[in-house]
Amino acid sequence: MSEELVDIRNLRVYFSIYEGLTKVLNGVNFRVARGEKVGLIGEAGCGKTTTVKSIMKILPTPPAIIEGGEIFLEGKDVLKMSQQELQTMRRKTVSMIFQDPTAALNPVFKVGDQIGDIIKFSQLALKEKVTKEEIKERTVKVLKEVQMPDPERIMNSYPIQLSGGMRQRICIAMALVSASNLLIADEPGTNLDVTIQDQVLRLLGDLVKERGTSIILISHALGAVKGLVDRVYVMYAGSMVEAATTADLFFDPLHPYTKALFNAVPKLTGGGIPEGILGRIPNYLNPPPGCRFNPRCPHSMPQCLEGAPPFFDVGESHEVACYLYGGN
Amino acid sequence: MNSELMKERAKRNWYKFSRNPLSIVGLIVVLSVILIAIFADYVAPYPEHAFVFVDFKNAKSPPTLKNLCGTDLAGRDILSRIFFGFRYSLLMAISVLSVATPPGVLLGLIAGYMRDTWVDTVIMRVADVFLSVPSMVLALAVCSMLEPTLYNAMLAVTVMWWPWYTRLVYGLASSIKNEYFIQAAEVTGASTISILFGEILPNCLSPIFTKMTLDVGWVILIGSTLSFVGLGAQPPTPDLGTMVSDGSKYIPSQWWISLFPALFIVLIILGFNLLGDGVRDMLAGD
Amino acid sequence: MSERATRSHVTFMEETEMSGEIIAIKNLKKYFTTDEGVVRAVDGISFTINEGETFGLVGESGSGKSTTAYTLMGLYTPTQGEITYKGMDISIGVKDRPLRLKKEMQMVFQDPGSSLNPKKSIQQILEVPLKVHGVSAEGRRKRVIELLHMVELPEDYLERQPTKIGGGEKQMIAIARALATNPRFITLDEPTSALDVSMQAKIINKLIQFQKELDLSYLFITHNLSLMRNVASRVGIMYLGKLCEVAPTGEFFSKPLHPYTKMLLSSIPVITDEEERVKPEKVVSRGEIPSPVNVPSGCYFHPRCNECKDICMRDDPPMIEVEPGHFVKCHSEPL
Repeated sequence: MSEELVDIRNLRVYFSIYEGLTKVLNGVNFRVARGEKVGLIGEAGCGKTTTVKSIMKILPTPPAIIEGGEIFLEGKDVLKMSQQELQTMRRKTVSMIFQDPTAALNPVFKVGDQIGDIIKFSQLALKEKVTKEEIKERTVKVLKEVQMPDPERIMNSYPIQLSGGMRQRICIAMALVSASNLLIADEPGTNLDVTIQDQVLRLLGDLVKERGTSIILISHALGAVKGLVDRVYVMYAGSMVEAATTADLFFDPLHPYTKALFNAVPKLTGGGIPEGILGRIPNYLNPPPGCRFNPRCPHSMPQCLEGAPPFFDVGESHEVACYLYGGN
Repeated sequence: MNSELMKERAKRNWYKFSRNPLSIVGLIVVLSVILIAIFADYVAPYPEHAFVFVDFKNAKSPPTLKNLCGTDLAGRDILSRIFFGFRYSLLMAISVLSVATPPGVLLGLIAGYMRDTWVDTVIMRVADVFLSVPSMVLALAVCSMLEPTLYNAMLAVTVMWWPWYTRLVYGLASSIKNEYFIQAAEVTGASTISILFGEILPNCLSPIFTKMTLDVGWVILIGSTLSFVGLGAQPPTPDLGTMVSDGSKYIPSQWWISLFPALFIVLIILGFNLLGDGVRDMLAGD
Repeated sequence: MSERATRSHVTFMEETEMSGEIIAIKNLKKYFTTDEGVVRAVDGISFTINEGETFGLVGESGSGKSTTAYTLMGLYTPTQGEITYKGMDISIGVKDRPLRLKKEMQMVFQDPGSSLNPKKSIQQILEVPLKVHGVSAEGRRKRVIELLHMVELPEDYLERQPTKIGGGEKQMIAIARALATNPRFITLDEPTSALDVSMQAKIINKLIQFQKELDLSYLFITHNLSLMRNVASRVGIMYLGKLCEVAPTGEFFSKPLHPYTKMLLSSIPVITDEEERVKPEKVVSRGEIPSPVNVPSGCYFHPRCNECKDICMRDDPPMIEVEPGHFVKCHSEPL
């Protein structure tokens, strides 16, 4: 067992579609310690959302099939939990902020009621009763925490009456109010303007620091993650390829994919448009054997075809899943 | 599109269609009805009974092996008449839908593309007027003004049917027109006609065809109702609705005269509805 | 640095009688009437685009950058103001524009998913502009294959449907479509915002290559400032329908003058330390972007501005050329 808050071991998730079986997650290893802030970066379709949805076990099965692996949350395997335990977990331990705040809020209920519902259910999980007045109080309190002007008025508004930035903050409030140990934020602020996204991410960072909550921050915007998290995982085509402290990763990326990814981002300092990465992401129906980045990798070796490389340690809390760094 | 892709497409469509076994039931029923209608002369046990025929000795006799559905007031075999009756039901459906759909769709395309202009207002308000009159009432009114014939019944139903397609396509067209590919066509200089028919219409075909399949049942029902009240096909034409009407005075003692035609009306409508569900599954979410 | 700022209400038209100008926009306004009131999407902007250059337009929601592009392309008609193309007045809707103009001005849209008609094959999609401009069937066939080669996609894509190809490839087809009629000017509205970093790099590189080979001029709209830095030769930043600042790219990023520009530049998330150093001092962004129905009085940016003075709340500032080619619309000018 582990004392980690989250410990995913060798998770394999497939999806059953008309054409066959898409082997999306190919042995994911991922850890979050208590109070730790972890970033998860990778491009569209690499499996980031599938991974975190698996932690909360909210993937619809079918078409998803959990083919193997373990997900330890506070020491217990989520994949073996009963319905009751899962419900408690979702109410008490983990909260999620989804990518699109507009889609995450129910358009026909007032925002205050939606927050109130979460308070009610998380209290139920703790087997404590809570009165209407208390719910209202706590709603106002959390709205103030997410810096909403005029909480009373906002509580009685419908999502459509609020701006994108405000809706995102409501989603954050909803995640915070259940006082969970783990917050999963899936691309928060991606759909928002840069200045508003900046505000939202700052807010998130401050709140998480205050409460000592752990956070998994998913983003395909590399820079957004950098200011906020302690450690970063890089994901490619269904598995983690590199994990390091933020400073280490951005200063000295080791995996060929990470390097290519960083190189493909245009720099504010100029220097023209970078090359991009040759090739395309693999087809999950028929993924390449061994390391999935191999077909696009400039350092391809015969070993790479044999089996997906495990994490090799390279210095203090820096791991790389690449045969260039071990396994000889 | 080459044949490889077409085969692949057909396979995929069949997969989607056949996921619900009831759709296949619907397909079988509909195909049977169509085949029987076409080949009624060969399939019916007594094809000569279809129109003018009398045999009063055998009139109003109950279902036996000789006459599976019994005989009617004039001694004609009911089952044979039912088979011929399929022709009129299908004819009703085909003519109404092929005449009502094109103008309905065209008006919907124009109104949707020109949404929020006077064109939109005029077209949709006219459609609203037609839609607000209860369909049966409208059909009856038209039929009573003209001579009661099958042809006029079809006309009546057509007149009241087109606005449903206008409304359907209006909703689709007005949201599609905001898609970027429409704007790209406009920027390039495509004419309004080519945008309506080349860009917007192909994206409306699936809902239109689904609706048409489901509408067949309704048209047949309304057509049968019109003939039931005497405003549609006239004797001796073997129309299912007329047959139900003919036997209505003899219920409950000679129940078969009305019951079997009625049951077959139900069967046809059910068949088309189930088929329509399958068509919807097949065309949706592509 | 020139201290002698040109303090006059400089309009671009007067300055730019010089040749090489392909697009000129003069005091353009586009208002929409809605139930909530009049939306001043574009509220009096002026700028020019020179032949062969990439003019970048940057701004957040409600800034009016997309509306500007759409009005330029004729999808909207201007409420006021003038748009000229190579000196010809084109301040009219696209349906009224001459066909040869539409041959020369093309557009690439933001969302590759809805840029291509899902019910058509790639071939049919690419043929649309060719058919409109009267190319024969044989000519169309040849040109379509040529276009596919230009965007490095295989010929068997001709028969595919958009739903079967990836987002980046869809955008390549959208670009191919825009190039079909040999245009001179292309508007690109956030062409890579919906795509991943690696796809983005490929597409932008292609766009730059085409610009050189085919002598194209671009209006390039994006909210990604790091991308803008490497793509545009001149940049304009919009806020609530007005242009705040226009400058050559280097100056825009190294010497931003308008407080909004500084706020935006300082919020860009960057990866490397050297990029961090290049950013202006952090201006914490305050407040929400107001709705364009309810614009603030005076300078539209004043409620969020750190340098707001009394005059800012009353008067809309003039656009001043602080240095050659560097224009700012602000009451606090460098002295």
